[in-house]
Amino acid sequence: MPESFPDNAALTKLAELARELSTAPVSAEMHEEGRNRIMALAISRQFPRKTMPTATKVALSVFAAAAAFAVVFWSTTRVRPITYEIAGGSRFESGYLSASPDRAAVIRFSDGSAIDAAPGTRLRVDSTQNDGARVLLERGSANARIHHGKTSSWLFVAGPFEVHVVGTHFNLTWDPSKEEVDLTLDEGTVELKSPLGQGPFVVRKGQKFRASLLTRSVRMDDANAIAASSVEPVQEPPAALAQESASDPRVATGDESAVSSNPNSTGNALKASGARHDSWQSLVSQGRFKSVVEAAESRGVDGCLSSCSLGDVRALADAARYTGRSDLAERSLLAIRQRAAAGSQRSAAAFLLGRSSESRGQVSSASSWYDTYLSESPNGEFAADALAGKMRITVRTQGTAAARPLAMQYLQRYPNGAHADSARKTVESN
Amino acid sequence: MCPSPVPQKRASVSRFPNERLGDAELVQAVAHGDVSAVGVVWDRYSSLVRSELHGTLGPDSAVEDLLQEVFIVFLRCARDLRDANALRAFLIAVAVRLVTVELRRRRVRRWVILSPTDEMPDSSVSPRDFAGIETLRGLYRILEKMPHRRRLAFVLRNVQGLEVADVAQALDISESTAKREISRAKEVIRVRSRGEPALWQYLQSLEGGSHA
Repeated sequence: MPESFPDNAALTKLAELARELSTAPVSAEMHEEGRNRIMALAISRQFPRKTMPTATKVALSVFAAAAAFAVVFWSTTRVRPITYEIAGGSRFESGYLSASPDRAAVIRFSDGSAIDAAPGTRLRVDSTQNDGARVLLERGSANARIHHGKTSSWLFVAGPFEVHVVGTHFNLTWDPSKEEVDLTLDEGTVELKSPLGQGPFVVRKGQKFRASLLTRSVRMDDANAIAASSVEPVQEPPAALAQESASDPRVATGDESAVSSNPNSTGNALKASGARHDSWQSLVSQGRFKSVVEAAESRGVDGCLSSCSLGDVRALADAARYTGRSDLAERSLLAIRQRAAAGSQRSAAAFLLGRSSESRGQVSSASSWYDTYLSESPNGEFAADALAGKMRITVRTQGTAAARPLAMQYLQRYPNGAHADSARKTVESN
Repeated sequence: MCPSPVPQKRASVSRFPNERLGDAELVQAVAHGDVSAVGVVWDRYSSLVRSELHGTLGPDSAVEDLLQEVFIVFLRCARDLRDANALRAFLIAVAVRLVTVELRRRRVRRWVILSPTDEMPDSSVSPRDFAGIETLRGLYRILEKMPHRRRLAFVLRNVQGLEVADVAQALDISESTAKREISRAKEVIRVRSRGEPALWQYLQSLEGGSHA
């Protein structure tokens, strides 16, 4: 049958059929009845306005009742955002605090939380919700005591670093001139997102996190240790594997007994005691990457990849990546892929292999690993980054036009994601 | 004796029958309260308006009520009718407006009360045959899913046989827009008729006939 079928002639015939039906004469009685109705109205000179149909009246009543209920419900149940007051310092505008150079200032929130701003600090309470606030630390140091509630949700932003807080006591310092962030936990746990990593860092009580954008370095130390270990410049910083330590009770409680506070002795300690090798994840979370690699090499890498726990292999993979041992990192990740039949570890390894390949310029392999991750964990924790990676590679290899569908997909799924800006640029450039 | 005067016969002035008045005079008569003129307008245009309503809605019990509404609007507006000669166009325009409101109302009602079926009611008018009614059911199901303006443009042009200029005037759109809407309506019918077995069979039979 041709595409143009039915043609105009057929449609005309069809219309004629409809016309035949619509123009069929009505009975004389029906015509007369209608005539009488309209003439009766003309005689009475009362021309009624068309009344609203009953169904519409009912529908509108239902809508009105529902709307009224919603308004009442909302007004009686909504929880108002927390409020705050600023003591000391200068307030140029609502929510903006500039502590004088010689005097601290404080912000007290209605939920019991408080932020002490050190002299010279500038910060802004960007927004408040019923369960927290968003605070921008522009420069200086803020000592925060956040009230722990059932649904507390606080966000501190220091340059490109984001600190997600539930309830805790910490000190956050941001130096915009050096682009350095310093976070010390006195109580509780926070999650820190860094532009230097693809996954958040978990910082716990007694730990100190430092990062520099200029040197692209990250270090996490025991705040109570006399000498913190220094870490080599980071090519790709800690990722999800650092998160894994969340399940390690020794780390969660700040118990350092399992880990030597002397970084120089760590490798030896591990050499001396094979039973201690399971602390690699803790060491990674503390930034002692080199010690982990040394310990693995002393044990024998091949043996470790085949017999160490998957958690240790993951720790080794991270440590190897952070110390620039991409070959060892890749072997470790492939070992995880081989040993783990399924699950998040296996798919996370695919993503990290993609990152590793991309950093070495092996875009085809990287794209393939990202695809693998997305097929195995379409909603996994690295899904946004894997999609962004594919978008980056496509832009690089095929141009922005080819990357547009990926960018649109990214924006649709992660409109506020870390790569949303570049995705928008990709979309708008076409 | 003077003959009684012959009673002088009063000159009778017969009224010009309303039936023979033009539209402009009819409108003026209605505007001045001449009820019989209303009946003439009814006799002259009720079939046209009914056909317009029928063509747009299909066989529908609301047609007669809407027809009354059109004439009520006319009664209300007769005094203000600027161009009394445009009575026909006025009635069509009112019918179009009312039927548009009705279609919108039905769409809302379906959405609100979730009417289980959009089936066209049985016709009170005798169809040519059962197959013809089924064919038209299919056509109106397609029209039902079109934007109102497109649906009306198609019906006014193809079912009612109005000129494109009159379609444009009735819908208050430009002629080019009217042409475009008619064309798109046809295209939609072409595409969707495949999903309406009775309609598709009817169109195929026409095709077969034309090749025969």
